[in-house]
Amino acid sequence: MLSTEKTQPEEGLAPPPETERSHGRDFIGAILLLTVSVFFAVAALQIPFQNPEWKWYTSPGIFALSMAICLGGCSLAVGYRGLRGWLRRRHTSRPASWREGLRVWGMGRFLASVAIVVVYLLLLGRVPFMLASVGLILVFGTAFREGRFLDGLRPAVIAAVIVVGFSYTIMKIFGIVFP
Amino acid sequence: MDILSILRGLGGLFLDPVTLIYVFIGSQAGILFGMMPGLTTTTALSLLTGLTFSLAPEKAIAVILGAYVGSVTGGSRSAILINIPGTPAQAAVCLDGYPLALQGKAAQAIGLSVTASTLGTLIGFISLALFTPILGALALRFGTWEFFWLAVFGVVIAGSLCAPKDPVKGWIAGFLGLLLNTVGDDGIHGVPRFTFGYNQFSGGFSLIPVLIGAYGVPEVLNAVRKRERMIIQTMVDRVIPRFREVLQHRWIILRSSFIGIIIGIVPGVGSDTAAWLSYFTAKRGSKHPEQFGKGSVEGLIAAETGDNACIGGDIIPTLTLAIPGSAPAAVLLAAMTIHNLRPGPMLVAEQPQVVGQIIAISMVSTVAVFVLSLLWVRQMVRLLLIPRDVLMPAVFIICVTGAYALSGRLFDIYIMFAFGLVGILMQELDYPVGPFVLGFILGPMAEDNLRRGLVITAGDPSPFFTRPIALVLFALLVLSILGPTGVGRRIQSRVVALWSNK
Repeated sequence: MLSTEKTQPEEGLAPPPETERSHGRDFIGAILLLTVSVFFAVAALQIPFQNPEWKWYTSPGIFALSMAICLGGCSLAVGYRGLRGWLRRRHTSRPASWREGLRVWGMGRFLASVAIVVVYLLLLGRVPFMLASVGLILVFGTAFREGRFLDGLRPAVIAAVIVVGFSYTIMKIFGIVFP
Repeated sequence: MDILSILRGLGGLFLDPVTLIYVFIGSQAGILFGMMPGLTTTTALSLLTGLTFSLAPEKAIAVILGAYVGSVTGGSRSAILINIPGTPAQAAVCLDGYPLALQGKAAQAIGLSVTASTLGTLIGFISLALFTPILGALALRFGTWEFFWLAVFGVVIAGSLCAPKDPVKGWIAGFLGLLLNTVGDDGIHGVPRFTFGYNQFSGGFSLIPVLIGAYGVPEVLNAVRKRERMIIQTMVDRVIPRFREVLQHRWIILRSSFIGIIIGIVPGVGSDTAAWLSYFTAKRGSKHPEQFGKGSVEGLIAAETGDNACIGGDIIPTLTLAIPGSAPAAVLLAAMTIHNLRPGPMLVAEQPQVVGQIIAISMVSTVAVFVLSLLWVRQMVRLLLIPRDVLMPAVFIICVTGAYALSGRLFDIYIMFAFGLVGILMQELDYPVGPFVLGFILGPMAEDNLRRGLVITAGDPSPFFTRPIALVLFALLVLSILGPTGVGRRIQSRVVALWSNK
């Protein structure tokens, strides 16, 4: 027989709430994408269309400019739709607590994990790869553990040993020189 | 390419035990990756592409194809046992696999799902052998103008199908991929674009770090973000299914295989779509639709078969047109390119033995996955007990290894992480990652063919709209854009109204 027990989700498992938050997300996403498209369009326009080496149709910036225009156009459409939806619903729906929303999403754990990874990436090239990798696994395994410190440490040590063994094998077989 | 090429490929494979061992290694690695929740087929293939870079081409492809088949099949293990799909494509398997496990039929469910996967994969590969020469011959008529439209059509249709509720977001993802691909030296004049004086950018973004970043890193960070504990107590009895039981569902297997192959051929659409479509088609045609979702063997078989038949379908456009049918097929395309095997019509026409070898490796991989999936079931299940907080950083290090191994640049690791954050942002804002990656892959094909086409005609764009195949592709592109939008629906209703008035 098989039995599976799942604990109640604490954070990070809530489905994304719909309604005005979706519209808000659409609007914010569109602003970000619009920024990217404007950035690329401006940079593409700085590449000359005519040159002794090329005509307008072989200009190195022409394709990027077209794609930036397509991206910007579609983003405008999504942004306009998001803004319109948000304005329509803002009076009818209850304002959500953004702080609670972030907690439910798991922002704390996410930022902590990103910070640990960034430190790991900064250490690469400065300390040996194997050492940094072992450190990453141990920090993750203990920082985000369930229960006692030792309960987190034991599987983390096992995983670290396996990963070091794996990396060493890869290094020897494929001749990769790790940073 | 004919049946002889495949037989020759099979013969060559059996005479080369080292490659055969690599097939089994790849298959086992694929099963492990597939069954681990959060690790996708694309992640597995991206990592292995980096790691097998220094191997001979046929051995590297053997590992990657084995892993492809293995990971698609392996994902059903966790779907059945803990109700968490190993890969997104197995979400449909959860619906009936897990209720079957709760009824004490876990072993039967695993056995049937593995058998259905194997049959689906084999049927998919038979279609690959049949369709590849036909499509390859057709592709020989394609010129630069047709390839441009094909690339754009691939990105747009992937956008429409990956974001069916909001296709504009799918197209945006595709355009973003096409745009970011232009970073680096221009392919025709060698002019640096968007590098801002930073030399590392002049080579552009390498595909493998981008793929690992977009698919692997979000899985790692999301798994850490989510807090979830699972306790599994399992005892698996007889796994190998009875022949009669499989034969009883032959029509579901055939129908789902057909669906999987067709979905696979469509660029950018993955096996998850195939699994769901097969599942709902089986439900509609079933005598007991009420059992679906409560432990229906038909539902389980349909989802598994459709999911796996997609692999063969995925590889058809990848080999013949160099247009990947899905994200894992895109990695396969990248892997082949890295090893100087250039997929496309010329590969089929000039090197049919390579295509035969690929089909032979795929078929042997299917058998290897079948054998390995039914072995060590109990031991494999124990791996699901590893805490995610420990597993995921280990996976992250493997991601780093995969991104770094290809060219030995720290820059690639940073790119991987940056694209990982882009992937998370896209997920949170409801933009599909598939078309983004496809845009990234098809970007050079679209740009080079557009500019080459215009150079040939000295700036005259008319061949893009007047050549017969180009015109058909352009019409398909317009239809795929108008279809899901309000304009398309209005045109459709107007046509229907006119037709009914007549």
